[in-house]
Amino acid sequence: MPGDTPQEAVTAFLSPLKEAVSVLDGRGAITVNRHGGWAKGQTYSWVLNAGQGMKLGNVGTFHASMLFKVIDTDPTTNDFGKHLRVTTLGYNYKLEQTGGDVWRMHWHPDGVSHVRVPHLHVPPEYQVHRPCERMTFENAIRWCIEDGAPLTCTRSEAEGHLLLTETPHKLHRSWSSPLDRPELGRPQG
Amino acid sequence: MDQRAACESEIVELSQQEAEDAFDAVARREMGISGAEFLRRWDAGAYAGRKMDDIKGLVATWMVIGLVR
Repeated sequence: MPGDTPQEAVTAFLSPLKEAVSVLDGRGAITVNRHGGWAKGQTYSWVLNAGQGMKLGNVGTFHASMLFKVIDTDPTTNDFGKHLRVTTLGYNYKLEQTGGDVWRMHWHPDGVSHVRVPHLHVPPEYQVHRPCERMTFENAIRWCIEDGAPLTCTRSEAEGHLLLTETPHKLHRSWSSPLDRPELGRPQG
Repeated sequence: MDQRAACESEIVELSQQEAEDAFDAVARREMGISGAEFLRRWDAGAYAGRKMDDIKGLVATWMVIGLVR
């Protein structure tokens, strides 16, 4: 998601997320704090609905957040000659129900964890890290849909819309699988 | 697809106070401590060397640290 200014790069990054969540029926605000202004190298978070999550009828509450920062583009990649882009530093998606989470999608390579690859947690053994490909926000929304989340359109329209919003991310991201980033290592448990 | 207009999807820039309140709410819900206490523990290295997923709510709270730092 490249841009010529930090503001442009962040807008290009956040706008598809806002569009993606619009297929779910309810209020879906991508909330951020730009700390007085977007700047290259500063770490930011966005979180769905200021951390309150998105109520999905009887299905549960969808929580989503990411850490990200603005970096220089790599001229050898497909960044349309723009100078800056956003890179994701981690994500946390989960569907919460009373009594426990239905699923959790995690990637937190720079925290204090020994587990640095993208992974899933599902009940009843939440402690098990199930390695997976890098999961997009759209993937998390698809999982909510599979769990029966109410939509603002038909399932078919939702899938078409998610494909469109996901495309810029897939076009510009630098990796999709832990196999692309051997430095992440393998899960330790 | 016009039906999607019914969904209130938007990008919202929080004020510093709103961001601190959101961070505090996440820390309290996920870990049962205030946002300020989480930052104090984080800075003190209380979670160093631990598996993030072994500490309830740590991933969710850490992921929104960019709201306040």
